Parts: sequence; structure tokens; C-alpha cells
Amino acid sequence: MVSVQESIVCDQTAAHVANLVARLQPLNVRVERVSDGTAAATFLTKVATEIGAPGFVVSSELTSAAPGLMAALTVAGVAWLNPADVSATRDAPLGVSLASLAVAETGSVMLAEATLTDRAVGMLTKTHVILVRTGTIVPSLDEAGEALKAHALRPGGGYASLVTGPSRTADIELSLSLGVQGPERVYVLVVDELS
Amino acid sequence: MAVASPAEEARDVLEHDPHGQPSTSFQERYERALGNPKLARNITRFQQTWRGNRNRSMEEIEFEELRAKLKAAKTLVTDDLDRYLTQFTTMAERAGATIHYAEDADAANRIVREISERHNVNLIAKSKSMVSEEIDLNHRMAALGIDVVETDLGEWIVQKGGERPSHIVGPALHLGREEVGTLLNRVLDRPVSLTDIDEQVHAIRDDLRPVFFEAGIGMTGANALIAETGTVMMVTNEGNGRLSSSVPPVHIVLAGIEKLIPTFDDVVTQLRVLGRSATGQRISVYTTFITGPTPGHEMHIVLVDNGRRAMRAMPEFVEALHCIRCGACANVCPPYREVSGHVFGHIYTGAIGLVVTQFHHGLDAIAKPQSLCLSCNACETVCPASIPLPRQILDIRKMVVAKKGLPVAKRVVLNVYARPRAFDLAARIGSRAQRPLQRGRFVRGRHVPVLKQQTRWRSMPALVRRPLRDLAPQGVPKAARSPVVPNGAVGKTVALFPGCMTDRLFPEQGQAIVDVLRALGARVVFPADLHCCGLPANNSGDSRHAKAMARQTIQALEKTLERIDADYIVSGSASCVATLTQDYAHIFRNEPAWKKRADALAGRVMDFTSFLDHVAQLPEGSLTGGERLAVTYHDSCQGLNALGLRREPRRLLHDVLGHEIRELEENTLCCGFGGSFGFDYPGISERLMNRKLDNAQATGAPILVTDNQGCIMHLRGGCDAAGRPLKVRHLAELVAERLRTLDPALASNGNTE
Repeated sequence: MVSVQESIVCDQTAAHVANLVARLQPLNVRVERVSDGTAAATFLTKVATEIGAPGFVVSSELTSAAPGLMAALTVAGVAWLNPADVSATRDAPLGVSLASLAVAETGSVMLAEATLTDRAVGMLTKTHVILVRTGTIVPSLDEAGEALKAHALRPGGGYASLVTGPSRTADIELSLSLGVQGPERVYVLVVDELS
Repeated sequence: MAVASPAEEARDVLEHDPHGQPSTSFQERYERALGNPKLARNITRFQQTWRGNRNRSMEEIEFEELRAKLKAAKTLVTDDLDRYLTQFTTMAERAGATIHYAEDADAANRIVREISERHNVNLIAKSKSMVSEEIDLNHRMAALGIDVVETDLGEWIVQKGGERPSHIVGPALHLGREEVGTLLNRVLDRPVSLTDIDEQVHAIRDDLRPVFFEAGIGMTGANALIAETGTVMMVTNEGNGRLSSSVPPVHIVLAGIEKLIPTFDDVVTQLRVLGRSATGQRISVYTTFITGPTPGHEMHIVLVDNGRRAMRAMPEFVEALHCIRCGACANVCPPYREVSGHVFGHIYTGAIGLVVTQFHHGLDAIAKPQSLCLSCNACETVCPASIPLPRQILDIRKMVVAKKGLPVAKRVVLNVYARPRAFDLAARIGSRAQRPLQRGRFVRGRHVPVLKQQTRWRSMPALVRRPLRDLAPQGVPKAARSPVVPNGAVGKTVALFPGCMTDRLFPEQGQAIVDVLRALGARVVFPADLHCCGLPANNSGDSRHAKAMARQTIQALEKTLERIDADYIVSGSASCVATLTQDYAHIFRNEPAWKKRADALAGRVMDFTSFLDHVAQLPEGSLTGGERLAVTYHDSCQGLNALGLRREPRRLLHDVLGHEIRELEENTLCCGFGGSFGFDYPGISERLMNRKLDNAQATGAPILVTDNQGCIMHLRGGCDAAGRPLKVRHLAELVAERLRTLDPALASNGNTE
């Protein structure tokens, strides 16, 4: 039996996830929620199959944060690698990154990779899957602002982006095109227990 | 004040020609734009789509609250610029960035050149930066053999086409797919569809892909410089900003010093209004925060003054520094819709462009474009930084007029207009002299060759033989009647401010107001010696006459109020009310004694519609009982945008009088009147008028109601010239008619009393 407090937290989490879905669906972003790394691996395998990607590039940040997930992928026979440099991500069919947090108010995810190569995974690939830990979803831009400020104040500063959907333009006759410079397809995978 | 010398200005105008074609004059660009029906169609579609998206996205936030918050944050910066500049510099340097300070365009270009030379770079990948347009970076670098490639899709298109961005946010909004396709087939070595936009976009993407890897420098602008952390904030939708600031080993940020903002908290406020105001998005796709260089890379931040401190030093213009470059002011601008930013603006386009250009590129650069503003005030209503754009544009206009003078015809007219007795005489002579051309209430000016362009599409109103002032003893109050219904106006004393148009063109509307006020139990006095409030002079940039007429008006009203202590000064003209209550305070901002007198009067001034709504507070259904009419309502710009009326006239028409209101499409769009605008730019005025009349007729309602005499004169003239069956009426006339039905005694002594 869950305590009252736990159930409130559960309700809030569910509401945040629902908000993410509501914000991102109109932007052509598929949002899914899974319980753990193994389920996440299944989802990633499915995406790779769907788009016909032979494998994917993964940010080293995610690799170290989720060894279980990576092991599950290997077991599933999916090829993945940490890109050696920025060029290795250029037009790669599928990239996977880990978000620092997600914002229910806007459907944004915060990407704040420590290395340029990791950052490139979310910039230069064609399809980008962003993993969000359920516990890192914040209600509004106010909390995101605090996190961004803390990130900026670290020694040496930092580079962070709130990413909200796939790259787009409407510069010609307001006609919407996706994947202009950044990824054309974005998936957000909310994982309850990432390991 | 830093106004460049004439020689410098002439050079600027030439080098910064917004169309990239130094030979074209404003007049040529204006005529070319008007002659290109596709242009207005593209922009109209954009404005309409934007409006819908923007309004929907604003529903989930408190726009007024947020823009007040943003204004407060930006005001901290403009009040204490050096403090925030120092804080930003210290923090950014601590994170490893190099800060450069550029006093002007030359200095900024020199800094970029030096960085490029130091790294032996001849290719720069540039993300969108209006400052780079402002300092003419692309051309300056090209002259040095440095290739600057625009990586924003719209910017790339206009760069390849040899043009300038026509819009701050959507550089290529003026172009259609055929034009883009034709360009692509010319500049790319592969065939590209003329109709498939997605294919066009991806052709450009493919062409740009290698640039990010080959460029030695990536350049971006900044949407904010966050002082507390030394962070550069930048938004894009395409992702080119992230690539430009990441892939090349050197990142140069080009930013105006006004981009400073104190805290992350403030930047969140900015983000909540920026995306919504720019594109109707909750937030743009990529919002990036860069604090210091990527390890192993260099980051340079060039902070550009180039006239901004001069702007800050002038209290009239300092708020223009609060601009967050969302482009909303252009997106609601009626003349912009017809001619695009290549005509409406200089490098910076839209309303904000009319204001800031003189500080960056000199007064001459904006002397002509500023005259395209018809003072509809729509821009101010959507500005997320609450910049008083319409007022600032008039201040620019006054500077232009002070320097270059008024056109002869305008000067003559305003000279006569400013002299009450001379004008009275002229109007009385005119009312007789016009007879050969008079047809009923109109003068068919199209028979006068010199005014053909101006009157072919809009009949001019005839001056009446007996102005309103002759119909009522001036300065003698008319006693109240026993009220038709109990209401809040009972026992009040009202001084009428008819406005010169009512007086000389539509006295029956003034009479209607008097009848209504008396029927509601108010005592009404027609002040002696009233003339014009000065709006025509003020809107023409003629400060001298505007001030003189404002003083006359204040004196005349004070004289009446000394004898008869009126509770309210009521006018049937929203424009006069806005002048008396808003413009006078600004006209006399440097004359405390007059300002005090203007403020004291302003407290009692109220438009007719607000008076019935706020003071009389006529209850729902209180004046029903006559014929139920189907009407459509035109929101006058001064009523809607300056006085904030929207609910009030509708409540009167529907709830109080019981008429059926059929809303017309685009009911926030100006009718194209704009005082002398129709004479200066008949091509634009006619189109806006016809759009309004078409939209009104499309409702099927036979009557168009409004409450501003300027719109009435304009729209009636348009109906007469084209034989449109629509009847254009003042709201007061409908109320008076209903009251005459309810109280026949009122009808019997109507106009003759």
C-alpha cells in the first residue's frame, strides 16, 4: 500500500508526463513512458527497426548513466557506439541522449552535455531519441531556469539547450518543414528507473 | 543626441539600402511593392495566420502581467546599463569568454575582421543576427575576402537573392515558393521544384551542411545577455544556432548592449512572451544558453553600441531599447501588410524599425518610411515589452519635420487649421464654394484633376452650411430632461467636446450626443471658442501647431469649466479623446505648468461610448423596444487600441439597445483612414478601406456602426464612391433614434432646440 505522500507524488508525476505528451504531440514528437532500462532498450530497438537504422550513436553521458540499458541493447543485438568525434554524428540515422530535465509547461527537454561530441548527437543526427528520467520532470520554466542558472555557474560555465520538438522552419510561405538543420524526428522516452 | 552629419547619412542610406539595390529610391520601392499583388497576398496570409496562432498561444498566459514584468526587468538595465554591462562582462570572462566592446559599426566589423585574420579564417557560418545586418557585416567581410554564409533558411534565401531580410523574424516572408524555386535553380547546381516547399528546404539544407564543418568561425546573435551568469541566450527553430555556436572552433556572438537582462528569472519571463509573440509558439524549438566557450574552443562576445547609448540618453526613445526583436509590431501593421519591410523600415523593419533606425543609420534613412505609419496603435497592443511605439514614431516624425519641413500643401492646410478664426471663415466660405461639386453630403473631388488619385475611390464630405456651433448657444447649459430610464448620468453636467469633424461635417451626430445626454438626465453645455484638439498637426509631426492647438483647446475648456463645473467632458470622437487624455501629457512633458493643466482636464475627458457604459451604466435591456437592427461594428483604432474599448460598444448595441451584432472578419484591422494618410498614400488607404467595407458587407448587415468621426468620413466616402449600399452610422445616432422612439417629446424638438 502506498502512503498518501507517495500517491501525491505519483499523481504529480502522471500529470507531468501527461503534460509532456500534450505539449509534444502537436509538435510531431512521440512520447512514451517505460519502467526501466530493459524496457527502454526494447523501445530503442523498435525505433531502430521502424526507421531502418542499422544501429545508433549514443552520448557517452548516457552510456555511463545507464550501463544496464546499454547491456540490454547489446544482448538484443543492436549496434551502438559512442561517437569518436563530431563528424561521426553527421547525418547518422539515429542518436540517443539523456536529458538533464524536462519541462511540463512547454514540453522542452534540457540537454546539457559536458562534451561537444555528446552535444553533437542531438544536433547532427536525423532521428533523436531523448531519454528523460521521470523524476527529473519539472512543472515549469521557473524550475528549469534555476537548473540552467546552476549549470551556467559551474566552473568554466557550460552549454545547455531547451529542446522542444524537431528542427523546423516555416520561412517559405509559412509552410512547415521538419529537419532543417537539427534532427527531423524526435522521440522522448520517459524512464522511471534508468540503470 | 547623436545625429550623424548629412554627409554621413547620405553614405549610410546608400550602403544600407534595404533592398540591396542602392539605386532604388523609397518611391520606387513603394510603387514596385504596390504593383506586386503577390507581395501583399503573401504578407496578408502571414499576418492573418500569425494573429490566430499568437492569440491562441496567449490564452494560457497573462500577457499584460508578463509584459509588465519584462518591461520592469529591461528598465533595470536601461536605468543602470553600466552596472549590468560590468556584471555580464565579469561573469562571461570568468567562464572563459573574451568580451569586446564596439562603439560603432566600424569598430564591430574591425573586431570580427581581426579575429578572422588571427585564425586565418575566410569562411564564417552565421546564424541569424540583426546586428550583423545593422553593421552591414556580410558586405564588409566580403570586401576583405571573408565569406559570411547565412545559415538561417530565410536569411540564406535573401542573401543568395541579393536582398535584405524584409522582416526581423521571417526574412523571406515577402517571397513565394515560385520565387524561391527560381532562385534555387539559379544558384544551386541541381534542379529544384518550383512548387514543393519541402524539397526546396532540403535542397538548402544539403547546400548548408558542409558549411558548418568548413567554417573557421561560427557567428550567432543573442536574444539575451544574462548579467548574473554571463550567459548568452539564443533561440532558433532550425538548429542552425546550435550548430554555428558548436561546430566551428571559434564562436563570435554579435549582440547589441540592450540585450542585457538581469537574471535567469527575467529570461524566463522573456521566453514566455518571445515565442508566442514571434510565431505563436509556446517556446521556440531550440533555446540555448551558452556560458563561456566549449572546451578547446574560443568564444568572443562583441557588445555593440552603435547608437544605443544615444537612444538611452533620450527619454522619448529609451524604451525602444527594451525590444526583444519578436517582430509582432510588423505583424499587425496595416501598411506593412501592403508594402512589406523593404519599404516599411530600413534595416530594422516594422514599427520598431521606424524608431531605432535613426540611431543606427541616421534620420535620413527613415525620413520617408516613417511617413507610412498611420497611427493606428495596433503595434503597441501586441508589443511584449510595452514599448510606446506609436508615440515614438510620432516623435521621430517631429524630428524629420523639424529638419526637413512639411510638404507645402500640408503646411498651408495646417497653418489655416491652427487659426480658429481663419479656419472658421475658410470653412464657411468653403461650404458655399463647394456647391458646384456638391452632391448631397459629398463633394465629388474626382472631378478635380489634382486630387484624382486621392478621391477617385473615396468621396470627400461636404462642409455643412451651419456647423454644430451655430445650432446651440455656446457656453449656455441646456437643462436636463427627466430621464427616460434611471441611470448614472442623471444630475451630471457634461461639457461637449464635439471635435472639428462633428462640428463642420456631421453636426447631426453632435446633436445626437446632446439629445442622448439630455434624455439620460444630464445637463449639457457646448463650450465656447472650441476648435480642433490639434490631432492633425500632432500626427503630421508639426509640433509647433500641435502645441498651439492644444493650448487653445485647454484654455477654451478651462474657460467653460470656470463658469460651469462640468463633471465630464464628453466627445463622440475616440481620436480626440485619445489626444486630450494621452497625447497632451506627452506634448507638454517639458512644460510642467501646461502639463498640470492638461492632466487636470484629462481626468474629466471621456468618450461617448465609455460615458454610456461607465457613467450612465445603462442596464441590459433598458433601451430595447424599437426595431431590432442587424448591424456590424467597426472598432476604430483609437477606440480599440488607445482607449481599450471592445466590450463597451458591443454591450451598448446588443445588451442595451437589443440590436443584433454581426462581427466582421479581421475586426482589429484599421480601416485605412489615418488622417492625412489617404492623401499621402492613397494606394494603401484604398486597399485597407475596401477590405474593411468588403468584410462589413460580407456580414450581410446593412448598417456599419462605429464611434469615431474619421472612420465615418472615410468609410462613407468609400461607400459613396463605389455605390456600396452599406450605411455607416455613429453609435450615438442609434442610441438617439431609440431614445426618440421611447420619448417622442425628444423627437419633436430634436434639431431645432
